[in-house]
Amino acid sequence: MELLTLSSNARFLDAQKGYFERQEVGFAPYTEKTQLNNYPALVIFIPIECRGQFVSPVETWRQYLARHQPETCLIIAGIEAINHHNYLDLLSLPIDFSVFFHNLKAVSDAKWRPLETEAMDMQDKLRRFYEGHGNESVTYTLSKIRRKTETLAKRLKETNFPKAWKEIFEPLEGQTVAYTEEKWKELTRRWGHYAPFFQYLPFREEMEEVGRRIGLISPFFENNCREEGLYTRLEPKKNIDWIFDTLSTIKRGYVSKKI
Amino acid sequence: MKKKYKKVLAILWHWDPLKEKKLPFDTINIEEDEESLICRIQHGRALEAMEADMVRCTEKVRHNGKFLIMIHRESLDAETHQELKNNIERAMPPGAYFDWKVFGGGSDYIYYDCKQDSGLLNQEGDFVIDDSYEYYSDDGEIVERLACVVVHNNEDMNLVKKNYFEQVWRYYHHEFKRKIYELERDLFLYFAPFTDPEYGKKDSILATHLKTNELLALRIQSFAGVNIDEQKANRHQALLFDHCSENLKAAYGQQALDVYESLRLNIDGIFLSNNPGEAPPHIAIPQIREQFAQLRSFMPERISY
Repeated sequence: MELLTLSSNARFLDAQKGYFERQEVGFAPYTEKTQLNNYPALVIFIPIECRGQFVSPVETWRQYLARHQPETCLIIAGIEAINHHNYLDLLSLPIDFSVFFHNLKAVSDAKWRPLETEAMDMQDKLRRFYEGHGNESVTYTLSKIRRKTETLAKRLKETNFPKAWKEIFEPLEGQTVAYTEEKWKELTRRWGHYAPFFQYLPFREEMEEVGRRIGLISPFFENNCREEGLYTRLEPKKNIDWIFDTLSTIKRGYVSKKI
Repeated sequence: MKKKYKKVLAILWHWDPLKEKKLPFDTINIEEDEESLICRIQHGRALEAMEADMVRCTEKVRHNGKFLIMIHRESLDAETHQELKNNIERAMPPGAYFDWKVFGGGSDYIYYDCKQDSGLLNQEGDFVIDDSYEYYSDDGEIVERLACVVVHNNEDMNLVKKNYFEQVWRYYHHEFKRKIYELERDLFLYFAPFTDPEYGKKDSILATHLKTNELLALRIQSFAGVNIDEQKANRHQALLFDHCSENLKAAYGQQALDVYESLRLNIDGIFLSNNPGEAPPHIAIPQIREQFAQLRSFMPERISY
């Protein structure tokens, strides 16, 4: 049997190599969603260590699989002593792996119990990314930037770029840093901090595209949106709308309101 | 001669009181503790100016003292951290300990947690001073708490209350729970094959196997209170445990110490002894894991924020 694996540390896979060889269980690293169609289970080795923090993406993955791939089994493996129906304890392995596999609960099973681990639930991380505290949140910052690009697009239907820029982006008297440029800086700083965590989540590909588009349109915002040529070439409004919609869809699906 | 301190905690953050007074930097004393000091550094200024203030903090650290600097994540760009950290390290007095931590997101240990009654900062740019909080008790009841981490002295100056300072200092200086968790992971991954009853070398002495991983051996010895060669200890300071029993007791109490002492004896018997243990590894290792988990259960903080 070959299973997909998600791990931040190769030592987890090597720890019980002999056992898995005897049980004829092989592993293939998870790289993209399409693989989920070809394997009976995804094994997440916890904790995931990212940026010096220990996190668990299990609940986010369970929700994703329950919605999109309910026939794929989810196995959680690690060295913590955890009592959970789908937990594979690497220090106390089942005598027969196929029996363990047969007894796994389906991801959509109403009796699925939440996993209790020392690692931080990635849902908390996601919530922090979206909501932060107050006006440091991505939601707040992005909506401010989006409003500016919307206003610019509207004004450009009525007037030329330099005039529209002056109305919307010119720093107020006494301000050293322009508002939108500052907000963009906040957004990219926050993105830079959280992006590495997203590689362990089911919407990694979408998040990678968000990152790519942020990088693409950065030159326009870093220069306080004053270059008409960059506006035409990089299409910041179209890209900001896409980023906003993608992040909103993920938020609606996977980030609860609790804080 | 300027006064020097044993413990200096610097916090680079958006400090409202500094903003109001138009100050870039100030210091706050600790109640009933003349050996410790907090330096508040205002963020959002030129890098050179913030660096100069951090260097001023190092001048307040005594020879063989300890300096911990807390950087708010939004206050510095990630790429400037390493260079700045190196510069501060160079400015440190000889023999003094220096560490650098990043906090942020409104939920690090340094932020006040009303349920645990620990932490120093509120969410708005100041120490917690007469702030009102509500939280759910374990019984599901709403509990109100009026919190204040400072007191006024006779000269009408704010002093941070000693226990709040000590909790934060201990957390970031020792990072017990996190270090223990990391040690468990590395120890058990390394010895995992020995828990497989069909593993070919399952009857070998674990201490012999441990000798092939010098750094892991050093960490487990330091946790178990074995004396470490000074040169090695200096080289791997961040990985090692600093006077584990006395600091554990001070931070988490006698019960935690009792669990630790029993765990320490088992570690000694299973991983450090040159004689075979009484129980086979597949029994003994999970037992030690239980003890580690029990020890962590005395630590209310989280391992990641």
